[in-house]
Amino acid sequence: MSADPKKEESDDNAEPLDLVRLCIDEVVVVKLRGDRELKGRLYAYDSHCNLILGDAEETIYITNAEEEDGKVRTVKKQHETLFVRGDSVVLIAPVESIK
Amino acid sequence: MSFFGFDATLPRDRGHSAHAPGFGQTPDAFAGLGGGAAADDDDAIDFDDTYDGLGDRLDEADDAFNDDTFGRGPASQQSIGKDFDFAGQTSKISNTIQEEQMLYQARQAPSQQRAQPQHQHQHQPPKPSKPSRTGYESYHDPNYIPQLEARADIWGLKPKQPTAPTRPPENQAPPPEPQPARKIVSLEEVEAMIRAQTLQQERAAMQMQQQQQQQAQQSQPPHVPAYPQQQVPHGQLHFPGIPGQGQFVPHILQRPQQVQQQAQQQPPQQRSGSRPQQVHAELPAHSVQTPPTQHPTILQRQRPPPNDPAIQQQRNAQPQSAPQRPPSQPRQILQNPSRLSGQGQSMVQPGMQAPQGPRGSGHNRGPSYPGMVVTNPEQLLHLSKEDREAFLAEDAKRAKRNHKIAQLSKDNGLMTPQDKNFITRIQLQQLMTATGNLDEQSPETVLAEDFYYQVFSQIRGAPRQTPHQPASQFAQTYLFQTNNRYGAGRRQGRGADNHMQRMEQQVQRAVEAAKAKPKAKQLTIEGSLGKISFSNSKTPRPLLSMKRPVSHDQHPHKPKVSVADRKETLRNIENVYMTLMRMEDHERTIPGQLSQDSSPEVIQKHMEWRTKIEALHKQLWEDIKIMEPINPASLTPHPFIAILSHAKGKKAIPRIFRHIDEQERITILTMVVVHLDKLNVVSHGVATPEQPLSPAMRDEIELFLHSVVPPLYAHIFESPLNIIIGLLGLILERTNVHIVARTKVGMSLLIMLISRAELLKEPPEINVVDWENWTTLYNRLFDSVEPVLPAIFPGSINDTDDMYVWQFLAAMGVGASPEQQQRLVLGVKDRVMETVGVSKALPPEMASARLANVNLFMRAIGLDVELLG
Repeated sequence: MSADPKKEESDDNAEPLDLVRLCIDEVVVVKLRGDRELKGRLYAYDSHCNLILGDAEETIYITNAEEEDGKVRTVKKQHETLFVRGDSVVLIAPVESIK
Repeated sequence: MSFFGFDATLPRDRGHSAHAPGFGQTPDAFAGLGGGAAADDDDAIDFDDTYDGLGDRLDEADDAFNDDTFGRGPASQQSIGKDFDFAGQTSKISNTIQEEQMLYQARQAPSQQRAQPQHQHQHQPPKPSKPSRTGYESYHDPNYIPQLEARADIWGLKPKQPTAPTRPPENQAPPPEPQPARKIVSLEEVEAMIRAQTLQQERAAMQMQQQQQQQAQQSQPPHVPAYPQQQVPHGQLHFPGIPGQGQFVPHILQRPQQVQQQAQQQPPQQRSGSRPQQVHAELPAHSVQTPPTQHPTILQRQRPPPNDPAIQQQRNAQPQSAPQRPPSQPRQILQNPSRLSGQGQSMVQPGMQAPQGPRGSGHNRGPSYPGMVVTNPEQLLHLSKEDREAFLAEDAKRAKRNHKIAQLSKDNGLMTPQDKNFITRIQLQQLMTATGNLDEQSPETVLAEDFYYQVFSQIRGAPRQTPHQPASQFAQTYLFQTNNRYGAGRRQGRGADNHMQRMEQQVQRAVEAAKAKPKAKQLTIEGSLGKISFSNSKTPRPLLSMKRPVSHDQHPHKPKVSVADRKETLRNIENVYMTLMRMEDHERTIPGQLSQDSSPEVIQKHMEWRTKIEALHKQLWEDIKIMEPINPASLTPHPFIAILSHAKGKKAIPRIFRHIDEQERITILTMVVVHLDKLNVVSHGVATPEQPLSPAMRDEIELFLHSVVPPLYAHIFESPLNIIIGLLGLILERTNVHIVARTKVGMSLLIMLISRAELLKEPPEINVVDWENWTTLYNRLFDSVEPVLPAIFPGSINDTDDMYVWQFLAAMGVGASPEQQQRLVLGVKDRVMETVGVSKALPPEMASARLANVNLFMRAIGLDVELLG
């Protein structure tokens, strides 16, 4: 589309976090250390990947090491607003637009 | 060095008389300080010894001198006081000067402000240390009985005979009593002692002493309590057997931190005997040199603590009273102004007692204090029973009160004046930055200081500190924003209410207008509602036709937007926001109003500003991609429409509308109308009772109604009929009306267009051609909508969110011909009857609300729910 030249422009001085910027006010999936995942609306972020998520659902994956049957239990929690410290963030991904 | 000067205070009497009669005041003040501070006990003992000797020797000669010098005591003090007043005045001036400095600093750029505070801090370091010392002093104060005695001596003597303070005490105080007095020091001990004495020891005691003590106690009850508690440690110390503690104390009080060191060093000196003399020498020097310089510093609170006491004494203590109270009060005054009187009294008491007991051993001795307790038992014996009881009662009372006061004042003096000053300064500084001198700070500075507070306060309508137009505009921007945000969060945001209310009003006005016109055939219709059931034959047709659009809709719009397109859209949105923010930021920097006599520079600035805002404006217009060619065949939505499919895109619309001109608004409105059925809030916004909307979709729709529709509505509301016709024509031509009419967003737009057209019908100068065009379009719309009438209600009968549907029906009904009205009624008759039926089972409030909705429509066609029984 005609927007392409502009796109290249913005790609020139792009930083990785510029992609995160596109997800502002969108629903994102955030993978955290400690076998946790978050899914929620991204309100804000900073250069440390500190995040503010709204209406976030936290999923914690728990494996029982003793039994080693490979079964993974999940615990889910709902948070209205969540501050995520950046040092635990592994991955941020946009979720396909809501239906 | 000031410490040494304080030491001198101990031998006050001598110092006053011999060295510096004129400076008598200052030494007193120091002594008071000394009394307040607590020092090592051992050291104190040493000092006491030395003092005793000196006191005895000096008394006689000193007395003579004292008469000369102190005979004028008050007068001399006054004269001195004047000198000090001068210092005080300068200090006051310096205070104001400092305030001025603060003001000036506050007005300076923040950076400068910060830099200056640092400098101050650098200067201040000495202060903090001093305050801490003073704090220690206060802690120790209770322990310093000896000082009290010394003070008392001065106090008692001076009031009566300033010239010879030492002698009277000696005469009155019996030597043997000192040790017992020490033990008694603490309040609790005192109480215990009193009781024990009363019960066990009823021996002969000196009635004279008792009476004196009683008098002293009665007149000055408060100070006794404070000392007793502190005295306990002294008592222990005393046992080692050094009487001189009291005198040493003054040093400690004045400089708690240094006191200990001095105490360690000094004891030997004092023992040697040279110490006292040195002290005296130091005192005068201090008084002379330090007072003037110290006063300003104290006021400013930059100087060390030692100065403070002197200054405060000068300040607080009146020249005449100064000699008496200064010793103990200076510190106390600083720390607890309220305590002044009480402590002053306490000081006096020790003095009175001191003469009785301790004088014999040493004249400053703590024994005087204990003397009260020890002597009491003996005295009690001599007393008559009544007197004894009275005395005991009085004593108990006093002890009780003292205990209470001690408890209340146990935290007194924790904060030094410097501490308080420091805090006050911080508060003042914050006040300055918060409220002061906004005119001299640019809006940017204010914003940078606390962006969110500024915006918040302006939104909240807080008194505007900067009446500049830009600021309010700026606030407006965020006002808009917040409303939108709230709207997204809450179902019935404020914006939505306004919007809905206005729409409702418009519909109602249209209804009123329609009512005004007599409609001949209404009567038949009125009665026909019940009868219309006969013509049920018509209903099957719409049912059939409504299926088609539903199945058609789902497919064409389903294709998912590719990731690349989505990313592109997000990027576009970010660009829009970047430009928006730049514009809003730039708006705040608008130079002052242009006038005819504006200087060329101002005009130049204005030109530059305008150039930039126009560039940004152009940029914004490009960013929203509104001018991208419309490609009906394209599977991907138009970039602008894609922007609207994101929540943040919707939120941007009100902000964009603020910056664009009329023509561009029409362009946006047209673009939205043309793509009405491609908006995701429309294409995915068709709800059926079986398949209600997802919560996410509901939120999207609400957001759209709260953010995008109001600006559009504002524009439509002012548009002439030809534009309304054009827009409705576009909807009919380019969009799937069946879908549009079944969604909240689409219906809202239709309501706006129809009701606006109805209102335009009113003026007599109506353009006949336009009106014919409108009628044609309306008929087309009616024919298109009629088949879906039974399906326009999104939910079941229990879904209360159907007001907009009734509004739509009302708008349609107002403009409808009698025949069309009949068809309208036919289409929704079932729903009407159902709602009426349901409302009967509802609580009155809800029922009336729902019936009011139905009535909106019924009245539009000249009916009323009441008629349905």
